[in-house]
Amino acid sequence: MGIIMKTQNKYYKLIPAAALFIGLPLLLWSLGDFPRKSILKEFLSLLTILAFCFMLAQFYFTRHNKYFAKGREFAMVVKLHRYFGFIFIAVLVLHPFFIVLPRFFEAGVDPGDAFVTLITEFDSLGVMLGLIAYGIMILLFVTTFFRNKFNLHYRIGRMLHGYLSVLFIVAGAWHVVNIGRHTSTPFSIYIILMALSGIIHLFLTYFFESKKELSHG
Amino acid sequence: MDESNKKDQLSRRQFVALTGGTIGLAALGSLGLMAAYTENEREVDPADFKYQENETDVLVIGSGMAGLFAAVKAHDAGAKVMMVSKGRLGSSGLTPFAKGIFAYDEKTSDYSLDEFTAMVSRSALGTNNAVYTRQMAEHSLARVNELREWGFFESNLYNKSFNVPITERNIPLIERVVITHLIKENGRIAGASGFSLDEQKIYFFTAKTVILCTGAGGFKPNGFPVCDLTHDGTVMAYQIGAKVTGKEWNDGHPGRSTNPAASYDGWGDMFDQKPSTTQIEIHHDLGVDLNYRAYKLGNPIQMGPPGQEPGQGAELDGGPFVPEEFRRSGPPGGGGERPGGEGRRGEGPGGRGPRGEGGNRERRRPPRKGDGPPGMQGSLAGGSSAGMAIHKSEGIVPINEKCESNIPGLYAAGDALGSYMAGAIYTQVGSSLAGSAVQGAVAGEAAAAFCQKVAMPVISSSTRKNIETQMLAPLKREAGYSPAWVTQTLQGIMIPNFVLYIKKESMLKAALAYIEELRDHHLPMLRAADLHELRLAHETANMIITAEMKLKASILRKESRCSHYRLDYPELDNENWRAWINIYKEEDGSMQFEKQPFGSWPEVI
Amino acid sequence: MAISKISGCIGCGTCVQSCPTDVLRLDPKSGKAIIKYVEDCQICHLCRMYCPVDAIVITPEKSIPVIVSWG
Repeated sequence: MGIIMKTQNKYYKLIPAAALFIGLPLLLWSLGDFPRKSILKEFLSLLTILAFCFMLAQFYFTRHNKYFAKGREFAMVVKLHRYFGFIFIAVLVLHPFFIVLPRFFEAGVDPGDAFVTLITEFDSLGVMLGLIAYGIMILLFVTTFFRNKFNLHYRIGRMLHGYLSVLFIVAGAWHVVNIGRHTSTPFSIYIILMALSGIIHLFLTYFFESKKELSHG
Repeated sequence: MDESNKKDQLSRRQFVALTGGTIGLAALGSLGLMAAYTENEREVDPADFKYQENETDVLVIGSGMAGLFAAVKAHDAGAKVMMVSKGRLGSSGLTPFAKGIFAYDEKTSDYSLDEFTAMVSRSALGTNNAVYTRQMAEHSLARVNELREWGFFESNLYNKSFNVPITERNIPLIERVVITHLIKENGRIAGASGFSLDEQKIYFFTAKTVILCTGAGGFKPNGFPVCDLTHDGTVMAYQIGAKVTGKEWNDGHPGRSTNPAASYDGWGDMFDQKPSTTQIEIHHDLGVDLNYRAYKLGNPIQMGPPGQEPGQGAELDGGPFVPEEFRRSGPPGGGGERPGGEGRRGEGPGGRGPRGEGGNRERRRPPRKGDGPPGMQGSLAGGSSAGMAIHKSEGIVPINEKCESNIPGLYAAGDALGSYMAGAIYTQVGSSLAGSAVQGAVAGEAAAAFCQKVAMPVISSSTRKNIETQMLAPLKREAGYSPAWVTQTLQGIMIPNFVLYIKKESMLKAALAYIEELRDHHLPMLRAADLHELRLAHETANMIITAEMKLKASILRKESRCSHYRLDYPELDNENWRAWINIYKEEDGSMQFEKQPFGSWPEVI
Repeated sequence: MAISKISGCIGCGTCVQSCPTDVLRLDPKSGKAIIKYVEDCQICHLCRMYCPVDAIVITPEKSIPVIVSWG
């Protein structure tokens, strides 16, 4: 009994986050006037949409979020941030391939040729933003995963992570708003709001934390 | 060369006098959706055009199957080649939708070349040109093997494989340029001219030879992906004095009555299929029989349960004639009881017999590559390919087996050439696409050889000026008829099955009166607000002239044969009509007609 | 209404080229494909099949009244 209570205590705080970063996007997706395609295509689309929303959510799943202040929650959030990061970066790494994947199963242009066209469309702002966001995302992953190998001071590492995240989310959100096939006006507003507030949250944390640390010093 | 070149002239006054005037009014009344004559709200400035000059030995117009081989073979024969297309290589005209290609291999075939040719000739009731029938079969395998090398059979889309030989040879390819004029100087071809769809630019091509690979055309019909083909090549060649033929024949593909305009859906999964080869399988496929049944009994396709013959129970006498040897089943009078067709191996709209592929009978076997539309539900609608004749049966009259026209230096191949390769009926399945490949190659080599004998022509400045004036005229008009409205009016006149399919003199003349009205009072007043509409204006003009040709040729042929069916002359007339009808423009601008006996070449002055 | 929607366009222009009836154009402002002349769509699906990012949606209805031979 006690154990169950504890579990509830630990995870119930995630419900609002789930509503904001899973429920709301799903709602926008289901209400939007989007063409409904095959199950495979819809699945890949949803996976990509949710992956990006989870990247937005990452700005809140941080050890500095006072909402998760207690020790056990703190540990959970740190863990979730890491897991979500790795899982959904993996999805986003693959998402350009998701676009051409269904071509293996239906008539039309060769998926390989389609992919080459897709990633070499340098005239397109949306594609360029995507490539930039993609590059930053890889950098984020590498600097985080191999953090110890780089021998960075903890604070510098954290700063680097934070600033890369901001760059990533700016380029990524812009890419999505510009080119996303499910980017309706409500979706755009949602993405911009979430990205902005995420960035603000990050800067506020850094600002106040730095002050605090200074005052301690 | 036979001697009997009897001219039959049709007087316009005569037609107008006899005109009933029933069709058009009904048709026009049903439209009323587009503004007809309005001010021209221009989006481009007709005074602000740039020019691009090009010079080449061989100019290939069109980038389908015929154009591909014309360019490749002319290049390989040592000529400097350019290709120009109003669409994209392998993605315009009917080629993208043709999925079956005939490959004849004498070693493995049960029939010799001569036997094959004889069999086609029997089905075609003499309407085929046996030289072209044989040529197609003889070279088909070689062309198919080349296509295989380029990867043609690996995708349902052809742009990539078509690009392989063109890129390899560095053949300049100009896409999305609409050619509006062929240019003749000093009695021979001198080039062509057109405009770009993407920028305000006029293209002049000075060329020793021109090969028209422009396909045939229709009246922008619904349900058939032929809406970009409007007999442009035929009409441009006619305007400079080339003889054209085959305008009385009709392709009779039906479509679905639910969303009849949906070409893709109407053909089932055929557009998704990769192409495949076909073997000897000769039919006498009409399509006009289906129209006859609809005309006599109403829509023939009220489907019963799967497997039941469509329109079962209703016996029908008369109708188009099918030779005994090629009857599939059922009572004489010809296959009208099988409008659903078999959904058998076909080749797509680019070259398959009008076997009632729109049929809605359940398939009796698993689908095969290159199938026609599978069992579709609901009833049929007619005229999905309206305005198109049988593949290879309409177009420029060849004066020899080298795809050469009566204008020195002008060649045509594929559906732009009235080669009568298969006759005025669909005979060999898959031969249309194969024939385009074969004829393209033949024309390419012939044109390259011709180039060696002649100097580069010069296009005079007065010719240039005239062409530019005519080309841009719709853009310059302050007000005029919208091409879309004129086209719809034309469709209303030409598409009903009692006009073009089940023909009789009174109705043909009535329709002709309407068409002449469009020709005289609408064609000169077509307007265009932008480059897209300028293209539509030229296409519409070409369709009007084609409609005139089709009606006059249909009036002239007072018999029924193959896909030409006259209710008032339902029998074959072998005494008078073992002849093709050639159409040409007289010096005074009038449309003239002549007979060319089957099995002969035309007289060239 | 024939070709009905383009979403996720990367502006490569392949559809504009591939359309036999010149229905599509690149919007000079956004650089993306737009359905400019829908009434000329022959519903052949070439644009959809050539599109590298599968951005085009086509429905079987023609946007203007359809004239048939009989039906």
